[in-house]
Amino acid sequence: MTYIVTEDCIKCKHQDCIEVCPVDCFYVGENFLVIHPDECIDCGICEPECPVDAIKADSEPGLEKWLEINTKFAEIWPNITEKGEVPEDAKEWEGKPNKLALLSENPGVGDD
Amino acid sequence: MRRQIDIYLDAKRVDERELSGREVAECGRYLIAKTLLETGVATTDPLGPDNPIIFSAGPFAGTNFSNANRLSVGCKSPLTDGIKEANSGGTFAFAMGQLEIAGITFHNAFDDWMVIHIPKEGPITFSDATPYMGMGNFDCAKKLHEVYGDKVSLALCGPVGERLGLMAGIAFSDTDNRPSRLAARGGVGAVMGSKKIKAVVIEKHKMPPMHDRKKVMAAIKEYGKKLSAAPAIKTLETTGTAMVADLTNHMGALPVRNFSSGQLTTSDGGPLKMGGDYIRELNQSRGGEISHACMPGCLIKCSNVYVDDTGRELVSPLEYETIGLLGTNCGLTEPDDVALLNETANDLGVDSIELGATLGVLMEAGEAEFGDLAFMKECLEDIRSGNERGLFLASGTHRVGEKLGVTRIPVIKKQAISAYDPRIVEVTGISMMFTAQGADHTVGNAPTFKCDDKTVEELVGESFKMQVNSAVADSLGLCVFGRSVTDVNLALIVNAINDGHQSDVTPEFIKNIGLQTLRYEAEFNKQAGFKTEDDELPEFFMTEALPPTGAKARLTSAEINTHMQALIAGGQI
Repeated sequence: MTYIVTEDCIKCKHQDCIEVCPVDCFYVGENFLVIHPDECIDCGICEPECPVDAIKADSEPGLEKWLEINTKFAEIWPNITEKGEVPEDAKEWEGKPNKLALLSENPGVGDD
Repeated sequence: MRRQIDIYLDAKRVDERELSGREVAECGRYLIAKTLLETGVATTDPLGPDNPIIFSAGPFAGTNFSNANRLSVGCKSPLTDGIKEANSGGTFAFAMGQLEIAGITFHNAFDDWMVIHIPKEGPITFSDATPYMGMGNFDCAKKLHEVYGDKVSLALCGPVGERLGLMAGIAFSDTDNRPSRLAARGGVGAVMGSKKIKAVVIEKHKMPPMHDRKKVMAAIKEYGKKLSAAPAIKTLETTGTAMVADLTNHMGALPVRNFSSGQLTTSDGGPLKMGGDYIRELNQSRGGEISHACMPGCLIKCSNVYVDDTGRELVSPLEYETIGLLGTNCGLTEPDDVALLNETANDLGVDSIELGATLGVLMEAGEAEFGDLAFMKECLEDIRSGNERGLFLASGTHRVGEKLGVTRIPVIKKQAISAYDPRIVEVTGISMMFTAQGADHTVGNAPTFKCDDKTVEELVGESFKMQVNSAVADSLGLCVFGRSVTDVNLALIVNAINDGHQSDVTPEFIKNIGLQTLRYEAEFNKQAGFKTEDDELPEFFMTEALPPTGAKARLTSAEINTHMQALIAGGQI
């Protein structure tokens, strides 16, 4: 099992999760975060930290697509271990449906 | 800041007080020993209302600090009549920490059986336990999760604990909500039963506030990196504790057929099927999980999920002590057989060490041949049903052996000896003899220490060192399996405690807690009436040569106590 980031993070990207990860397994895109499924140790601490409930266990049904997205972009995007700037309009995007089309494949600003 | 909660069951009254600074680091086994001694319960009836039961979590509970979410359960033991701290992994201490609870002490007893619910917000509540009575732990957990949801952790008194069976432990939820992590030893489940607590349900929440969370997280990462780089930890992750069977079998120290041999030989010359290498490969080929964390965030992951040849889960975890006592000690040779019995033991909520030693003694008495799986299953069904024979068997190895007139009863202070024959693994043997806990390897285990070229005094010195270090780990909520990293990084741990709780503890303070724990425990047992001769090994270990090495025990309680008392009094750690 692993934890993964799902649709509710898109354009919200609060990043509270990053600070509690014991193995630094978050990777950052322009408007989204992902968890590296092979690096996550399933501790689950990040899940309740997310203010928009975007982090889920991959054992929950219907998340296959999000597991693929997390796996794909964790290999491409930079690693992030410290919380960066939260988008100014994050609040406006909270809980909005159908945000997948807005997912940017561009990398975000990681630690390097 | 953390909270100590005292629940007075008879009045259903809950008292709370705040703990801060170093109070948060004075917990676990240390707190239990100190509290029980100060409460003056050494001579009380362990199954009476005056015997409190204490749950204590460490300073990192609720975080993802690797292997730092152990729970200590303490009371006067009804099995040994001495002090008891039984230790468990799982998620209960994790949940306590997330609710900023350091300790919960249950006083007196309910009039009727109750379920206690500890929510993340609002008062603790009590509800009628009638719907859950008599249920096995797995059905009981399922039913409780239907009522309270999945984001809770459970402490369960199983059907044997309900009937005050002395081999009953308390079952706690693992990371997948299996109630299969037991604070197993010493009859703590019977004490829970005597208080008519069927279950404690505690909600999980989120990482608790820390004074300087950034620094604590940095320490968590650093400790994790050190663990990941340690070869001993890697071995535990890949082969689990079952690997110890390969070691003890090679040394001739594996309990086989009621400690009558130290080695299980295979008729076809093949690999030891009860060993870590064989079990890992078999389990992996069947699709089981060969490594599994019993606590959130643990990087050691020595646990497993063992499956049968159809991929169906048989038990989680399958570990060495059970393989030794419930397996080879009873003449079993197939891991699937041990797994089946282990799952039943978990469902009943009994200590698989005590159970295995009891069944071995029954076989010694001639009630069945060693290796008679059907007989073992029948015994477990008797225990489950609570019939006259089942009640008798649940009283444990010492009482069953004495009643049947068996002379080879493998116990110290009425508690079954763990899976290390003290004729070979002498340091562990000394720890099991001396400890006030009754025979328990976890108080100071050193299976790889070369003993045969050492004097008894030297062996006692090694046991003393291990006992202090283990008491430190047990007093901080740390799993002893991290000791190769913990023991040489006390400064890291201490700094993290101070960063988390604004305390001022030092490595010397922490080591002293370990030493002081041993002193308190010894004093408790002294007040309970224990004498030096209670530390003696059963006579057969002294008189019988153990095949294939031919070793006899050379350890006497008098000599061990002379050296150990000097070390404890001297306090040179």
